[in-house]
Amino acid sequence: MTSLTRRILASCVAVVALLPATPGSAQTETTLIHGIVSSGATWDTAASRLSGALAINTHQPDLPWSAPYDDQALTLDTIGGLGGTSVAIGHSNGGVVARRWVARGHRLDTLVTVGTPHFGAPLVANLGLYGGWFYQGLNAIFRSGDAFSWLVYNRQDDPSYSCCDWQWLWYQIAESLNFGGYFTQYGVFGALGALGVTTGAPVLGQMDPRSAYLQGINSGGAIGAEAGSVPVRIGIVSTTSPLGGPLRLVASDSTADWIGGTFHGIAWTFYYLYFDMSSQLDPWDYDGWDAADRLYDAAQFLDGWDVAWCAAVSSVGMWYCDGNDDAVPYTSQQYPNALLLYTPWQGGPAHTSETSSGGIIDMIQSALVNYGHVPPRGGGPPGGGSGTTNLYGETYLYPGQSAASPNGRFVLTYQSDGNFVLYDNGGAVWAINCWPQCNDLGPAGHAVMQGDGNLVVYDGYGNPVWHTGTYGNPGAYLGIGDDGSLRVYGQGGNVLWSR
Amino acid sequence: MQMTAIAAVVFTATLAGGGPATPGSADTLVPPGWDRFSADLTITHGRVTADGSSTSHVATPTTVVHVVRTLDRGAWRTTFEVRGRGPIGDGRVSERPQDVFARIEDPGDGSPLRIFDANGVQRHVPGAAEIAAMASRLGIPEDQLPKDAAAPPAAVKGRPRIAAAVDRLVPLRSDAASRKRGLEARAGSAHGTVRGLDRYMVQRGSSVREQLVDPVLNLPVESNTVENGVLVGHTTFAYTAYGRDRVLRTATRVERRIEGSTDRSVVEMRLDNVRFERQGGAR
Repeated sequence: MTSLTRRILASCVAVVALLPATPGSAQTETTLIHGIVSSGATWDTAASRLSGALAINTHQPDLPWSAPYDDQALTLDTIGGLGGTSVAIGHSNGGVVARRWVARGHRLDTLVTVGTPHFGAPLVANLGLYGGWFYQGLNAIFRSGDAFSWLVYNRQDDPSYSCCDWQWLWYQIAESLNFGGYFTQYGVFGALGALGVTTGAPVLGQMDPRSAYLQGINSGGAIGAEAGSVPVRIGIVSTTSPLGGPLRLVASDSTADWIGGTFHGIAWTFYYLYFDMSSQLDPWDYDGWDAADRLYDAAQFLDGWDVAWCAAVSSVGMWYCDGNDDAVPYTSQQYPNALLLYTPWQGGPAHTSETSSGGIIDMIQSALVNYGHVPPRGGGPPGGGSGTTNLYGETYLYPGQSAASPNGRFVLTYQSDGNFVLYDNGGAVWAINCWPQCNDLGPAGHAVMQGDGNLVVYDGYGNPVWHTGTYGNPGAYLGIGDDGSLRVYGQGGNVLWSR
Repeated sequence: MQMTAIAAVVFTATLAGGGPATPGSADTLVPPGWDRFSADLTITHGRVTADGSSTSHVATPTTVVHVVRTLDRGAWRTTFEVRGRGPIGDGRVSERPQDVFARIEDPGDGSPLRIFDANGVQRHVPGAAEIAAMASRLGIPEDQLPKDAAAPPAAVKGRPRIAAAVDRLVPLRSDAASRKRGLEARAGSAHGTVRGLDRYMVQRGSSVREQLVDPVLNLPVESNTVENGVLVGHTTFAYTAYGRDRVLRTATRVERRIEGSTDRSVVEMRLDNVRFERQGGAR
């Protein structure tokens, strides 16, 4: 027995089985579950596209979104026609509701969550902190306006102060302050309304990342039971651009880019004017210094506006800014012990657009076909007849996670010891030759089919330990064949790498 | 912060004394007829609690800007260019929204500032018509928009010349007496000393300004503003020798009490690599 084989056999493989669905031509009953401040109609676009491409029959129930998770799950049991559901897709809180539906005894073949706060939404806990920051920022804007108004009307013709042309400065500043005042309020109040976090809804208490409720449903025992009832579990994780902060939740990307970018332009204008004034001000000119300082405060507010929102969304206490979909941090969207599919980093849709985003709908379809083995409409084998499970760009496998061939015989696993192994009915037939770097240098990391076409295994420190060398091929994908093949295909289906 | 806390503030500015100048240094650091000024400007912003500890990681990162100001056909043209910014928080967000702007150009003739993003594309600050158009596009009812922070003035004057400001940035040691006369004209005589610094007081309404001044150079070292008995502003200036007869104001640190909070915002601005040059050419 080789050392490699010994290491493979010695490792504790917690395979998340991605089993093939039962073959047949029947429609797969699929329920799409909405999230907070929403209704079943949010899924209209996705339901239309998915049911057009796949042999599924969709349901879009309206749930009492403000109620506690378990009450919403109970509602699913009371709505007629959902009893035969074998596939559920949940957006936002709808993902947790689906999990609670399973906990109530409803078995599913496949559960896909999208932008779901599995570990809570820090924004819920940060409302007071963020509100205080925002109020003070607005105050800085208005105080700055007051300070310059005073200077314009009291200084313009006073020869004893030689600093600045206050009227010129005021011209540069005034409309910018108006712009900042207008759109910061619009963005924040609009976003808070869209997310319902100021409604006092009962479910909000459960969404606090520190809640005992979330700790309970994510405990090892609960997750194990869930895995027993839902063999295929997939989490779709979206991260969007932080530019524009909350505006991205209530406006188009281009509008958020424009307004958010303008805020930074204003901030930089103010930074410049601060420098311009402070390099000329008489040290004794208290009012001039006061106005300059207030201008800097306003600049800092506008420059930090979207970063502060990012922090409010990312961490309880607003301690850091991390990747998120403008409402839920990516770490919370990671469905525990499930296969995770990611949008391009900071290139995905915002939370409120996830159910209608073409990219997300494509990911759901890909997940249902490749991992849930839902047949396409019109018949034919799952996977488009190729007999392969395809992992497209930006698909991650974390320790213990696996992807299987359509017939379930071949399972590719990223192990907790850092090894990346292909099994044939439980026996290892291929592994990366990474020993001893797989795990001797630190914790396991992940395997990823990257967007550039390269299949890479990283250790826990982010160092690549193995790769296929197929970078430079955007659109490439990894195929796990029913015949045991493991290949990276180019966008046109040409083989770029084979095991 | 209470007024009594002022005296306990530790003065950290490094004020160069009136001793002999650095060997080799000379007034040529500010040559007669200089027409080009350049410097690296480091701006740091933070927010601290009443006890001085940092409150969060969301403050704008430390930024280094290279400033060049050149006299050209009677106008002082300025470029204000970002040379480096610190990470946001722990740096996990790779797309940093604050990086979208990279350079500002001030023609110095009263015409609008020109703002450029990191790709070199010129951007602009929207006017009232664009604001209204965007609000309309977003469906914001006009009566729900916040009222104007202020109305811009009807007329715009040209930019003043900037050369006189040199004496603010690099004041002459020899002007100490005239500075004292100007100070006493505004603030009256000194009210004793604090930590060896002359103390001047100015009251306006409910606001009291305290200025602590170096007694030899007559330059401000510390400024405190008290409103209704509460210390709301604390500014320190730091200087270093600059040539034989000047000092350079190298750093300004401004602490301001945030309205509605006991927290304070802290802005520090430091100048490095300051150069005054004479290049000649059209003036």
